[in-house]
Amino acid sequence: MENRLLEIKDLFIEYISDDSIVKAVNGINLRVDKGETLGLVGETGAGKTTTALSIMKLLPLNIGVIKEGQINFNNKDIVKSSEAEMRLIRGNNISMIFQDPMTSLNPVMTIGDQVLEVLSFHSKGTKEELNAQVDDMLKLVGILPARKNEYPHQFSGGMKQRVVIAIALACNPKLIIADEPTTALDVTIQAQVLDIMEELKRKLNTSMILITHDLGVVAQTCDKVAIMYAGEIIENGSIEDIFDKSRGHHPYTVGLFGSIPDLKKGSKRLNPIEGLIPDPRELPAGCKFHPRCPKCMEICKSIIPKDVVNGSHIIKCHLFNNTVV
Amino acid sequence: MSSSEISVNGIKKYKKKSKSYEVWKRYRKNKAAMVGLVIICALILIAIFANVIADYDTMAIEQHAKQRLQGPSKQNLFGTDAYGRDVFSRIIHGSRISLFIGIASTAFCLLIGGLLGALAGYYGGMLDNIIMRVLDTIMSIPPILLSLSIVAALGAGMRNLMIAVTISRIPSFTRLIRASVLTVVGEEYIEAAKSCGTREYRIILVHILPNAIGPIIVQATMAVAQTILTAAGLSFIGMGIQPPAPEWGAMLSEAREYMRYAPYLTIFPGLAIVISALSLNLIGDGLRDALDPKLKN
Amino acid sequence: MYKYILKRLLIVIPVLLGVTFIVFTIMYFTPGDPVTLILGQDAPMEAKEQLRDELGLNKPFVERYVSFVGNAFKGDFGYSYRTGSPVFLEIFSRFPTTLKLAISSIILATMIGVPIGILSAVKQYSTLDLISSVSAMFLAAIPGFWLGLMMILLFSLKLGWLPSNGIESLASYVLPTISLALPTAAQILRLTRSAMLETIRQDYIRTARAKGATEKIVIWRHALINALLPVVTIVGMHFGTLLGGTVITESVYAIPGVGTLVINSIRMKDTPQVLAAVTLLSALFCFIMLSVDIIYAYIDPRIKARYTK
Repeated sequence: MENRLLEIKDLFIEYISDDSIVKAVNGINLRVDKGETLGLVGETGAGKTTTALSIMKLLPLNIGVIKEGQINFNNKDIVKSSEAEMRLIRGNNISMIFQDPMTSLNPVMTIGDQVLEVLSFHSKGTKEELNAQVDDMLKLVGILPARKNEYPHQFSGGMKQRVVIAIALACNPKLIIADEPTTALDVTIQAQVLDIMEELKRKLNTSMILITHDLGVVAQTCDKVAIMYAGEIIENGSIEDIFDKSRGHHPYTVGLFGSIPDLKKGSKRLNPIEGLIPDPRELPAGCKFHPRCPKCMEICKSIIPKDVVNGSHIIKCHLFNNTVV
Repeated sequence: MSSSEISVNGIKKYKKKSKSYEVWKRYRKNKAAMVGLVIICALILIAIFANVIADYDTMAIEQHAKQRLQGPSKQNLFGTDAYGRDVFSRIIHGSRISLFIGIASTAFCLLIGGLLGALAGYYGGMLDNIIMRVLDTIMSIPPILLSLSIVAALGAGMRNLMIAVTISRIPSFTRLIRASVLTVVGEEYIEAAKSCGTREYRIILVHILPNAIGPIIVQATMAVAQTILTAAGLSFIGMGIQPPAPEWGAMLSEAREYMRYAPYLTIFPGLAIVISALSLNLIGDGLRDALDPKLKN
Repeated sequence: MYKYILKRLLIVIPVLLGVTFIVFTIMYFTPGDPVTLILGQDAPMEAKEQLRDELGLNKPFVERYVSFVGNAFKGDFGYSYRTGSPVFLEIFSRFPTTLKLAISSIILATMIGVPIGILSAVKQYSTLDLISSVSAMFLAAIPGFWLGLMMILLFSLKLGWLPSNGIESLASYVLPTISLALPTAAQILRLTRSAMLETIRQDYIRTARAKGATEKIVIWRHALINALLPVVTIVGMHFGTLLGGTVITESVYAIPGVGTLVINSIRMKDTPQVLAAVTLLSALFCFIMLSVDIIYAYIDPRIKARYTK
């Protein structure tokens, strides 16, 4: 119990606009322990970023609304926290790394100042002490401290992302949420950035939620995986659970793995999953994946599946009702 | 919008129809924008049927010395002016002039500015440089001064006023269209079209312009309003439409002498200008919000 | 940095040359014979011909333009056809008036437009936003000269509070400044508001919030500076429009400024006078835009970097 850092229970999030209500997150449960990395996987539009923003309570004002549920961080439900309380948490206990490094940094502030800023919000210390910490953070991410008076446009994409990481880690947060941190970067830079994150994670024993749609990255860096579809977590488990081919998996998961081209086997065509993700304004009844599911049964069309638990492995699918996976 | 059956041609057709329709749906929700649209339609109708509402010669032009400077009454809704002419009729006919200048001038600007901007943006290089330099020079002259000088050179009157106003506005349109073209030209689907061997004029017409058209339409709407204001201003100082034509700005110029005794003469033409410009601005804003709803939030 | 300033300064010269060329060409095609206007209709032919020769009116276009430019570089813009005195004499006696009017108007317009625009954006959809947006919408549709007439009607004729023409006292500048400033303020307000809204939507604002910044810091430290960049350009450009606007406003309020000089000179076909006045006003505009560009370069490190290598 003491190991539990973040626990999300039955979270429902909606986006309200003039002409429609978008059901972005529909009852998810997640848990991240101390020092653990949780991979949050899914296609674009599955609700991963929305979940991440809700943990930071950074959903667009009046548009993104947490309808129900709890987000327990360090045993406190932050859904009920005030804005002032959240400000103490953001950047300090929970940090976020966003997807596009090219636009995440203020173009008219030096990178040194931007790292210094987060320290000035949360750390106490003299100017010299804080500046020294800035230097340390920059060194940690592999940027020469001498460059701290330079502006973001003078750095490449990969370097910019490192600055973002430095900012995220400066106050030694307990939890980092990384939203597709390497998607906008070249593959080679991707590897570098992931290595840095790994190293820092180990050094500082930080927990991480890594949002990605790249299963390779998940295999490399995560301890646990949660697979998200149409605002729900349809499969959840440790790395071993999910990547174990001998077990049963949710048909969507099977589809995800199946769509990765296998270098060893020759194949004439790719195996995409049939169909498209549903319109979040008009979600299907029953199991939200049923229109695309090759194993769809009658019950799937009307009844929402319940979680089927097997130790650390949870699958939300009617196929596994009454069976042991 | 739904993700049902899709066929290749179906997507294309479906998208095209739904985009304008979506824009219209969003526009409809904006009450202010709808008010603007209604007003402009009313104005256009009034302009078209001006002669039906009030005969030009007898009401707007003919002078009736006995009925000079009479305040608003049942016979003369807006009163009479210094020459005994019915102000209401003059304003009605004035709408023809203002709307015509505004719309025609903007249309020419779009054409010429569009051509120049598209060429500059698409071909870049020396052509772009030359065009931009010339435009910079023209834009360095305060626009009203430029129009003034041109009207002075060509003589007053509707046609020359239009030429003057059009020329002073071409640079900003060229800039706008060039910028729009530049943002689109970099996109990959243009490369794709080029690599298929599509002819250049086709690329410009079919691919570039439709995607750039949003902000251009918004600008054009605002430009009509601006043109009406500028034309009125120039006519006011005698450098535009000449009397006895019932242009609103010229009417204000005549009204000045009698401000003390007949203030209503200054109020009505001015209101006409404001209402026209305001409705156009409302439409422009409404279009902008409808075309890119993200901007609202 | 100095290289940038120098470079921009150098560009001003060909631009001004271009301006003179355009105005010269326009005036060249203006009908009306200055000689007739100066000497009168009934003057003898020989006198007219002689004057024409003296004024160089019989020479071909190119020659006239080249000699004009040549003289201009020496500082000699010629003599007014109407008064016979050097053109700049008349201009300089009127220039301070126009300048006072233009500068006080743009300052007033900026002081009203920018802060309210920013506040409207920050508190979008609030009562303040609604009222200011609606007011700005109206003001932007009002022609400046009509606003001037209406204000004369109300404040001069009905209430008698303020003078309606001339420039005897400081009070006589009040109405003209307001009628010039308000429509411009409306435009500046709307553009500032949308620039601010655009900036607030940027990703780096979200990053600032994610660091735990208060809204105040987000707005003042992160959003404002980035939003002000386009605003500075907008204000500069409106100064140019304002310079033209003073022409009409001076007419409404019977103010003896450069604007009325231009109008009268155009009516009298006094080409040298028109050329000088328009060139001066254009030069003023050019320098304002130059200052805007320099300010921009100071604030935005991306541009600064390009020129300080």
